Amino acid sequence: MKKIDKHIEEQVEKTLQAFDGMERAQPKPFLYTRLQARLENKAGKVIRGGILSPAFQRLALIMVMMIVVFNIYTAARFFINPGSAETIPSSEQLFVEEYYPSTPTLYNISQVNTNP
Amino acid sequence: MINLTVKSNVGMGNSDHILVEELKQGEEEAFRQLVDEYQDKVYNTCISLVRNAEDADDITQEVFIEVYNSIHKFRAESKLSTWIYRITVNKSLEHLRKMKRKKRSGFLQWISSEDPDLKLQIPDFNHPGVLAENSEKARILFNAIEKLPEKQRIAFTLHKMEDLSYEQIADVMQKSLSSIESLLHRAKNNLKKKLYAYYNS
Repeated sequence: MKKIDKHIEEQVEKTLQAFDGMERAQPKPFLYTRLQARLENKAGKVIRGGILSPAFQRLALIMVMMIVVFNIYTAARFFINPGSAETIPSSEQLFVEEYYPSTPTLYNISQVNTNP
Repeated sequence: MINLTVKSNVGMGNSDHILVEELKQGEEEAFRQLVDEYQDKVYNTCISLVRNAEDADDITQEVFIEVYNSIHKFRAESKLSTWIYRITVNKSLEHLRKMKRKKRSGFLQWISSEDPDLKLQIPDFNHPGVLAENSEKARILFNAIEKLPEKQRIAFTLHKMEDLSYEQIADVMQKSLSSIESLLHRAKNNLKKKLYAYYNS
């Protein structure tokens, strides 16, 4: 039993020393060149990232689609039921309404009252 | 996560001071010099913590990009190497957390999948610098280190792999000297226990 314990102890000690004499690991060659490329790529992304980002593109697409749907809906309403669409009064109609109103105004009423 | 802006007690050397000033002025040659000088330290710390050569290479680049982007935040009270080690440790830990999250979601996919061929793969790491006769034992030691609590793992790695002194580790981890001594003592004891358990089984 003691022999086994001693053997394990030796193994543990040897394992703890496994890093002794270890050489340094080397990164892949041309680290600086790769780094430069990555920095340039990142700088480009920052400039383009604003308006060309996927989030912005999605938002723009949704807005365009909403405008198109709204236009189709408005046009459809107009063509299906043109009578119900609000008509803009012409300038002549506005003139008549201003000077010859169909309903009596305060001015007409006061004129009526001053007559003997 | 280690705070990158807290001051260190160790002052910056003159050559570091010149290099930092040149970096702040955006001199390309200074950045090249910095990469040449620190790539070995950064890469070896990364590879020991993340245990993957490809990932370590990627994180090394991220570290230098971080240095490049935030050199203006660097305070002259701390050593440049301390600051770079701190960024390296933080980036490596960030990567490990990301990997853990991925592994967890992968595990959930695996248990919900009916495909029997889909198995979880836990890679064994062989450090490229380990001597051939030590490779098996180094693999066992790396596996034991991975199971240590995070702070013990960082302290042990910086001490054993990077050969940093207790004082330097204290600066990098922003802890007192006595707490680093205690961390390393506990790390060694825990490693012994894990290795005994491994060889006993």
